[in-house]
Amino acid sequence: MGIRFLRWLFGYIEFNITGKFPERFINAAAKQGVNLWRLRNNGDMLSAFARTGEYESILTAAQKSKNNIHIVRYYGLPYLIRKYRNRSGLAAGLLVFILFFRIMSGYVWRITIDVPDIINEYELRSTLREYGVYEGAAADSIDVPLIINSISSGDKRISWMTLNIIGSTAEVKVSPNLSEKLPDTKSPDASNMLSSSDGTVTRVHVYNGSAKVKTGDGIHKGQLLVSGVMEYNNGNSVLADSSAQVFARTLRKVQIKIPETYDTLQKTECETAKSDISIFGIRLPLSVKEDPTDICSKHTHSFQAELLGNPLPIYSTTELWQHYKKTPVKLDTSRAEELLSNKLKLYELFMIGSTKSGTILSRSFNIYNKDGFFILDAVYETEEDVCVKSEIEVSTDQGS
Amino acid sequence: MKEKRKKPPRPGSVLAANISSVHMEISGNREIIFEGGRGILEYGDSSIKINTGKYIVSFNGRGLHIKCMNNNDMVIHGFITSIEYII
Repeated sequence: MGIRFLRWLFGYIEFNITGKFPERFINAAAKQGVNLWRLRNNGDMLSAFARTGEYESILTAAQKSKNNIHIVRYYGLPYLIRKYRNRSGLAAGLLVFILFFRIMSGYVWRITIDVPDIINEYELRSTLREYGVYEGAAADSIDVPLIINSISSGDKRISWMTLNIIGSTAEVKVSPNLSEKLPDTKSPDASNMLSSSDGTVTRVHVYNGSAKVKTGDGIHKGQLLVSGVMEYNNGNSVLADSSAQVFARTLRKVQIKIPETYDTLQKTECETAKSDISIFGIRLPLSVKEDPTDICSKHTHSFQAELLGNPLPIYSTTELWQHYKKTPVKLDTSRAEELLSNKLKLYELFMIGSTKSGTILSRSFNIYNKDGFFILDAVYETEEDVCVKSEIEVSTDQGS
Repeated sequence: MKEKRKKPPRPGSVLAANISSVHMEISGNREIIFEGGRGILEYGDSSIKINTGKYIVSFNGRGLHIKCMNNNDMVIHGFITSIEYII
């Protein structure tokens, strides 16, 4: 292989030997130190190959042996250059092609990201872009250790990450920080139970701690209901993480407001489409429209070109801007009552029913119009668990 | 001072084989690496005769040709049917 390449590099010829005794030519050429190969007897003539540089020796050998030489064909790089010397554009194109590949191989053209579900890939790409890792970035300018340290220490969701620059590909792999995902199950060593609102105690269920209220007591917001300090008959006391349910009859006042006139956004038939193409990091807009300044929603669609399943640094991006217009809407009383009652139902469902294990004993509400607003004032009488845990700070400092 | 005459190597010894004019390496009946020839006497696709000085070596067969050669050595390729020593 190496010999063949060297022969091609320096050039070689195929020639025919004609004469009475071609064997004499072979001997004479061998004495001249000529290396011949692929010697073939074609009946009335011999054909052989030799290096171009040995042509003078071949001629001498042919003269001595009284044979004639006829060159059939030239091979190799020197003849290829001579053949195309008038076509300088080809050489220039080849040079540009080589330079293009040489320069382009120093840039990152592909970023593969392997992220867990808890981290958004688009978000990570944006972060990487801030640190200079993007399609078209010079591979030498990427400070890999700095980026890894900055991103993994800055985002608590990330346990560790790797960034490998292999050729023109940046491979990013992120491992999630599972300890952040797990709920904090640590409970305080010592805690009290305080009241979250005013009311009258109806039921007391103490699982741990010592109760400070009993059924029928009136309580106010922030009052100690169950103490985490447990005292024993022998005078000793210990701190405990109190656990209890103290139900109390409470009054809740709620006010819900909605404006009498408000603006709604309505789609118009006007749409603005913008597209651009990005080739090797160079963005070429295909439309000359500016970004709309009025109220719009933007839908972006990006397409990356592929070759034999390998993504190429060629992107086509289309942005579709949907225009909206503000339309003022004036509420009538019946519609306002409907909206307010719906909001009230949501409040009952989420604020009273589910979160505090409460039950609504009675409710009363009043809807009226004032200062351009429809206002709903509601008063609830509820029975709910009013306990709120409050940790007892225990100082470990030893007094002198 | 009288110069000692070197003894000629005994016939059949390794040294004698090495300094003899011809060395051949035969790969099956397809290729022969021939070293020590003094000239080609006949070159055809059915017979190649090489002069070694003391004798002539004749390779017979079909499609014989010299794959490559230089001053003393050559590689003969083809379907070799016989090798003959003509003394």
